Amino acid sequence: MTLEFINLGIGYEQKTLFCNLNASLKSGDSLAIMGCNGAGKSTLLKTLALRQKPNSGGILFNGNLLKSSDIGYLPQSSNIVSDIGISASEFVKLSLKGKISQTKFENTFAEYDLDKIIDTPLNELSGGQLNRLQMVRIDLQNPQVLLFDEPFAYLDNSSRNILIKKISDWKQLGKIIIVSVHDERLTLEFDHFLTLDGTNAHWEEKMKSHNKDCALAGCALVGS
Amino acid sequence: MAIYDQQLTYAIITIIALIIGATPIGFFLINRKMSLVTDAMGHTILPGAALGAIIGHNSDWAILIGATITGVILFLLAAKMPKIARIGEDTNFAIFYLGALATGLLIADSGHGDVHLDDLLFGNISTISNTTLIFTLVISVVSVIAISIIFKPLLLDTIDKEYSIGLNSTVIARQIFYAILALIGVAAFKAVGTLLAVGIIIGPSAFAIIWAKSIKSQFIVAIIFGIICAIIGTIIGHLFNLKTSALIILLMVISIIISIFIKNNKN
Repeated sequence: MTLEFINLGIGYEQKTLFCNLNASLKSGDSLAIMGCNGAGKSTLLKTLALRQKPNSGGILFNGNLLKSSDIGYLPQSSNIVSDIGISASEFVKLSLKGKISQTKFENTFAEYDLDKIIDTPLNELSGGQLNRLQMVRIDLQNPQVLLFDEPFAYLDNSSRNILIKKISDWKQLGKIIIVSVHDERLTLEFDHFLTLDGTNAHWEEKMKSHNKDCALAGCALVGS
Repeated sequence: MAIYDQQLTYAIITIIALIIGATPIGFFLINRKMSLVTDAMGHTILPGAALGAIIGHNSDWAILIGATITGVILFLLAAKMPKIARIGEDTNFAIFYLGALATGLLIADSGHGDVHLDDLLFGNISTISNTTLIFTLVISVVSVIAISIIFKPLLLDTIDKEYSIGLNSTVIARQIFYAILALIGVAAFKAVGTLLAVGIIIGPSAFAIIWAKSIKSQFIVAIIFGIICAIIGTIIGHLFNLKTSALIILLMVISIIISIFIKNNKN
């Protein structure tokens, strides 16, 4: 299993955030995307999540164009309109294709400590429960590439711990994990690092990752 | 007298079909916080309707076709606007609606043909012909089928925009929703006029949201409530020679206001 970035360039109509990134990830690899606010972390994740078109180049998964069924995506912020009259399980089912057995469904909810609220109306859930519900959604989609946009910035402690454990499980299963992070002191170990500075992208392997020179103008990364 | 009764039957069937087709649209408009924007956009059909009335000598087909063409074109243009210009979306819509209203007024008042501006703005039950009836039935059936097809992605996009934005299914669902909204808008315009059209689209859902919990029960309550208001309003209007469109909307609005007060007291 490989995820390849071919001459990838991202940005908006008026602004290019980087161009010509060539790199690849294989089964069980994890990538941390780092950089200041506005450097393009979220834009890159949106591009990888197929929510936005790349400015140039493309993304291949196992040699074919990346499809939405290959990916699971947790956006940076969520603004869920919860008072619309649906339950937690109905919400999750909105983004699932095909049938999933009831046992699998219930077990996954339980893994995120949400087994008691499967049929609870969405507007009765806490913020933390809503966050974990979004993780249940990704889990049940069973994608090969998982994308998390600064998940640790807003998750409460219990959600955070579940996610950290899940990420290591997914790595064991050979899935590719891509996480944008704001802070190097993360509990997670990454295999690759991609640092964005708004005009360039620097790809680094694990061993070189803690060099001081990855600190950028106006945005010193906190060293570990 | 017999012809008059047939008129009443046409009117009631048309409005019932309209309510069934429009209620799911109204549900999404309310939950997507688009009620006011749509109200404004309702007026974009005025220039086409007025032009159709002049060219087609007040024939229903001419009015409906004119209204559909300007409605769909202006609505899709306005929906596209935010990406082109960087002024707020609400201002975009307001500019379109004011321009359309002004153009419609100029055309209707130009002295050509015999345009009943009053009918275009507030509807007229005695002008509901079998043309309007067939048009409304077709649009309502199309609306119900289309919404049931795009229901999942549209609901996901309504609840969780951060997640759904940019997905192919979202893009398609939104485009279909806007197109159906424009068509239902034209059908509603023919029944109750441009100024009250949105009332008949969102009124039933606004009532149902107050009383029903699940989405399914909201749809059922909305449609039953809408049909009751439509029948009572049409019959009272017929008996006392009052403006039917105004009666139906007023019945809905009063019920909604009373419901809000009852709910508020309960909590």
